[in-house]
Amino acid sequence: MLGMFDFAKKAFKHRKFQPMITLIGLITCVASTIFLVLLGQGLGLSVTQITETQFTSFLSSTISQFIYFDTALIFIVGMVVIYFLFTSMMADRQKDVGLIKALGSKENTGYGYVMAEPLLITIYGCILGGLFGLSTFIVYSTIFLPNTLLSQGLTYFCLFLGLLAISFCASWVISSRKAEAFFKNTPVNLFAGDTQNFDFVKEQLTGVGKFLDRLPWILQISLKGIIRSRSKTKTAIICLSLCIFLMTVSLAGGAVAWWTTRSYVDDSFGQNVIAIGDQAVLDEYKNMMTNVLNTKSLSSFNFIENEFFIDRDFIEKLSNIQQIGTIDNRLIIIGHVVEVQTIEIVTDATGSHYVTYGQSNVRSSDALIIGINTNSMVDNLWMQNMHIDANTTIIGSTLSESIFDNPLKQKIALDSNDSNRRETFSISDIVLDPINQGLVVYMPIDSLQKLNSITTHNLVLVKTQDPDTVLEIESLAKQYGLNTLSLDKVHQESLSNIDRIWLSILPFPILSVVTTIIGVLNCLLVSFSGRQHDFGILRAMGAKGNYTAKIVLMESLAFVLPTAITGILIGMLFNFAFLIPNATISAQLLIICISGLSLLLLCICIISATIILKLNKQTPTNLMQDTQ
Amino acid sequence: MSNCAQNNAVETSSLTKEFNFQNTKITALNDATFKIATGEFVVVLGHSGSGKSTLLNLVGGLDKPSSGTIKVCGTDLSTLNDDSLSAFRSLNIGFIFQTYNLISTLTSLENIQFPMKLSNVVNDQLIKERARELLNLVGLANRCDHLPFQMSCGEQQRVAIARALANDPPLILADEPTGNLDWPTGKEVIMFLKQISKTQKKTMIVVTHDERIVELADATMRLEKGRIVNIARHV
Ligand SMILES: Nc1ncnc2c1ncn2[C@@H]1O[C@H](COP(=O)(O)OP(=O)(O)OP(=O)(O)O)[C@@H](O)[C@H]1O
Ligand SMILES: [Mg+2]
Repeated sequence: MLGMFDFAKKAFKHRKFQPMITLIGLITCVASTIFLVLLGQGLGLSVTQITETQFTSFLSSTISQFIYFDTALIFIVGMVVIYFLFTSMMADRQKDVGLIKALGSKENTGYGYVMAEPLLITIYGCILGGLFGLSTFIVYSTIFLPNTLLSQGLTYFCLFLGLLAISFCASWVISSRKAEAFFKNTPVNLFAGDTQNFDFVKEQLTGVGKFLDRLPWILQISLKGIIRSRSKTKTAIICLSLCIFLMTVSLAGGAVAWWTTRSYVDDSFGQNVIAIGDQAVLDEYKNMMTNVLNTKSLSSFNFIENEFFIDRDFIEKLSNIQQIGTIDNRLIIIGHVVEVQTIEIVTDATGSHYVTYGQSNVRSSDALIIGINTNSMVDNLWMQNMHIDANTTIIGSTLSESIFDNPLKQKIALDSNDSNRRETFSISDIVLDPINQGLVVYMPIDSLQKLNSITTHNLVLVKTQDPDTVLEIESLAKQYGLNTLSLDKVHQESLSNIDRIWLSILPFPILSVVTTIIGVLNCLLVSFSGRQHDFGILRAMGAKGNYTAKIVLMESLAFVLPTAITGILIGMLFNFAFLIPNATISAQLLIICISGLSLLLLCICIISATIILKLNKQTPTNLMQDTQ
Repeated sequence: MSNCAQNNAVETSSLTKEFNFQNTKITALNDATFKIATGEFVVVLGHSGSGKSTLLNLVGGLDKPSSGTIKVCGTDLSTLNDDSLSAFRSLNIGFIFQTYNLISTLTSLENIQFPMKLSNVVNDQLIKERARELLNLVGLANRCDHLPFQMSCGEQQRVAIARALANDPPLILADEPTGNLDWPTGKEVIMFLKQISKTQKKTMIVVTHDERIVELADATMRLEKGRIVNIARHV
């Protein structure tokens, strides 16, 4: 008697194409899921490690959030593709199940015959895919993430085993549930196959039929093929939408997040701003604006040496230059800031009680403190919407997270030069300014001067576009022993630093796009593998090879178009709603993202049509034999 | 492209088809040389596995021979590339297969329309009318909106016959067209094919197991283990 596994092996051997695609699909799917999830974990860790010490907290959380969301989504798509592969494969076994049942096999034994094949595919697919994914990850990460791999080896291994187990269970459960559903059916229904729900009258009544009849013939048969095999189409559409959704989140989300982080840097610099001060002050200032990535430790530079202060005479002469509007005098120092606990009385139904904000063993930090005059500022975009008065400060995002629990309710204390005295300020706002890695306090220049018993300042910002004026300023500054620094250049440097960070995680979105492409391709190939017989008939009737290719292209477009629209739309919404809530993007970027995605999908359709065309380069007789 | 009126409908020489199967060579068709004149109604007989379907597939250009040549309506099939072979089939050959004939997602009417759409008949209305006419001819006028699985095998077979006639091809190849029909219906189908063959001077090659069909044929060809053992012309 033919054993269950013999039966499966024979089925596999003789019906090569379809189980082969399922197996290849499973291998690529498991491999890429494992690779990407491990990589995501690795990148996430290394990004967090780097960013914890170096970035402003906003940058680091945007980036690591992006990575972790993407990782989770890749996992989901992996599962969806597995779901699709196995449901389609089982759907093509419908007739076999019908036969096995009709031959009188009891559910138990028959079940065994039907499930042996998916079991073999599952085992081979998971083992090969797992090994492939793991080894690719090891090679990749020894090159790019050497430290994390060593320190996290065990975590990775557990994660790897977990993923493998989940993939295995998913494949198995999906196919066995499908088989169970089949066995509940009568053999006759099973013979009818995927079209069994077709009802011509209903098709006409709903208007779908009439609409279809009016289309060009190729489109007609493609769409009819899709619509009339409903259950297959449904799974294909769900799977495709999810894949495209991930692609959108990954690509567009990456682009939008990148853009957003850039635009925060943009906001914190003005345009055409020139800084004037002592060369040493300017150097340090520049450093603090650009070191988004360097490992350099925080500045302890003393900004209040006497020689750094700017002469009143100079300011007067400067204000005589025609082209200059506002002169933005600033005092910058490195100071010690301390968390202040606050207590609030809250009255509610249970009566009044106290709520404390902040910790009693106060936290403190060094920070860059910038004294500004709110009446004369060159435009930093974010500052236009914020107000400070003599008793308030605005603090940077990193500072707000490192020494405060609830910064807007708490207060901040600054040491004065008389070390016994501290002064307390309230915090009116938090700003995503990358300067000094987000460890920054903005406050009124008067208050800062008083605190340090200084009456002057050490930095001047002016805004001008005119090159002659720039020259004039330069020569004037020289007379007073001062130098100038064009912030536009510093701005560019900062931006390229941000770009560098994103480029370092670029393989991630690229690879996740590759997985989705593989996923979409798998879906398309699998849905056509069941159609070989039909293509054989078409060829026998005299359809040319590229006629079938056209049908395939039409069908893939018919699949991909609606799913692309939903997937991209939902993906975009998701990006803005969850991933990057305070995104700043331009319409231009949006158009680039969407058209890029669409182009990519079109390519996928063409690739799948080409593959099908290649596979169809057989004689019609071969095509018509399901088992070759 | 081809001219059936002036040539033999089918002309083969030393036609051989071998299959490699688990390292053993199976000669499905062995050195078959024959001629079939235009308008002839030829029946191919033989035991199961004797190579009848193989022969038909080769003549119809669905498969490539291992050696030998086939001329259909004067055109040597080996000179045609894949696309021109398709175009040739579309215009000159109508197929009726042994099993699973129809596109499963198209209704019977749509299945019949298909070959006409392929051969660039432009008028949609004309195509539809002709498809209905053909369905009527095979007695299935009331089944035009059914998918294949909603019809019996015999009905599917008749739709396939109607489809083979759609482009009015000079050569029709039928692989057991009556295999699934009871004798009265089967006979009707055969008579019908024969009548078309006579009135429209179409060449028919019909594979069958049924000896009763022999008496209707102009000629019979007997196959045994891949060899043509006998070609007899009836007068
Ligand atoms: N793809 C194939 N691979 C291997 N052997 C094949 C293949 N197709 C046909 N054969 C063999 O070629 C021989 C002829 O097959 P063919 O299908 O022509 O027989 P037939 O006369 O049509 O039989 P039936 O009356 O049962 O349909 C058979 O022995 C068959 O086993
Ligand atoms: Mg046969």
